[in-house]
Amino acid sequence: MPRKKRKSQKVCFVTVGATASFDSLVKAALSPQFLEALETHDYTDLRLQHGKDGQKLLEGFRRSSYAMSEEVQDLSISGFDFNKQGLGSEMRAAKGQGNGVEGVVISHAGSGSILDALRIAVPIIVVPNSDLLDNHQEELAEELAIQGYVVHGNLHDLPAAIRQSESLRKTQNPWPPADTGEDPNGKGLVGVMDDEMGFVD
Amino acid sequence: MPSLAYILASTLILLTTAFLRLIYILPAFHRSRPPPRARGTPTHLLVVLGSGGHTAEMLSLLASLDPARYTYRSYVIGSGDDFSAGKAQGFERGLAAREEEGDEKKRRGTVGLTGAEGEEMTGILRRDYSIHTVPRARRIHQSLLTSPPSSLRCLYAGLMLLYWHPKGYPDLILTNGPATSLVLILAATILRYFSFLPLVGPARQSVRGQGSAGKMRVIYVESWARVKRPSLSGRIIVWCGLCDRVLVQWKGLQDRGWGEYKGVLVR
Repeated sequence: MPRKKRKSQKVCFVTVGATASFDSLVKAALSPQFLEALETHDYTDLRLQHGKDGQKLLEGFRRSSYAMSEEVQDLSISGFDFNKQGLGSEMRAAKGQGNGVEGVVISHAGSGSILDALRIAVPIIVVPNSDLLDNHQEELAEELAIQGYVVHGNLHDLPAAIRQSESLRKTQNPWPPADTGEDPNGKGLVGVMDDEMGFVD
Repeated sequence: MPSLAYILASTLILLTTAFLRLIYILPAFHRSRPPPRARGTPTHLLVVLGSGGHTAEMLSLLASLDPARYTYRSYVIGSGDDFSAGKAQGFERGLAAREEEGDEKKRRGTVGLTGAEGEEMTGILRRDYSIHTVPRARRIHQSLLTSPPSSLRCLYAGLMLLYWHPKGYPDLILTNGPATSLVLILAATILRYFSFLPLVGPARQSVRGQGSAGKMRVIYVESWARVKRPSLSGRIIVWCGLCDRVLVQWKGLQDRGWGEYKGVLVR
């Protein structure tokens, strides 16, 4: 691959969450196909929140001959276990705040990380962990994708998700949604609380 | 010696009365309007926080809470859940900052923390909230065999907490369904059940004059992550008819006859 002139920073942030490990997502994010897709779309940084078990995978990758090869030299790859203070700074880096361009967030389907990404309006690819027993996350990812908020990613084809995220960047719906159901005042929870408290005004 | 028929009859009458009482107090059977309340009346809101995800979502739900209306807030967390305790304190700091921005009235008070373990607090302390810890109903990976005793301990702690709370019974209990909340709602239901008994302690004062029907109303908010199927705790709470209002955050759930949809509530 020919070296281009210095690109502006573009971050892909991958998060597996704090509760369960999700090694297959870490593996997919370190696969040659995926890294190639990142290069194609001018990414400069891949940042992994890999959890406890993901550490070994990242170290293994670093030792591999592929990591040393010319192909991924332009990509800075780093990782960390988890940050109890939250993932705000990584999210903002992916948003391109500072001196970069907007990148992407790839998330296990934890609602916290999805909401964080939607709030700062950075494109997000949601990859549910199919190993988890109660798989309501699949439904969440599906519905959010239908409504135009996220890309519903497939673990086995992340490069396709990266391509889709480039078009989501232009069309992503603003958060929160305007629809308030049968609640003309749109007061949401506070309205119901006031109602139950007997506040009458 | 009373005859067998006599014993049978009294047992039947007792059981019927007990059952009717249950139907009377269960919100699912007996929807009552809360008594109207004037602005500025002191109120007590109790929020049950759970593990990471539940806590984060709950505090996001409460983002637009008006502390002038909800004048006192109690947070209940499972023991050892420092994450939630920290989040609740952070949330209260946010409320305080917002309130001070709004008006210049600064309310200074002494430490209001009860039950928070080893918390050292400095600076201006507000006395209009408290954080309470209860033993966990069930730890992750805890075997089902040992969970009934720990659930009972949690239930006992919940009863004590509600009954002896210095601010009296909460007016409103708000939860999004961690295991602790099931037990706490059960405790509230038990107290509602026996509310005809004379009360001692702070609960007595709080109930006087308005009847306990207006107390401890329960709002359950289903997680935003639940799109088509309610969570297990949601199902249990609703099937047992334990809450006054059930809110869902996806229209699909309401269409399936589950709760009220008033738009996405997380912010």
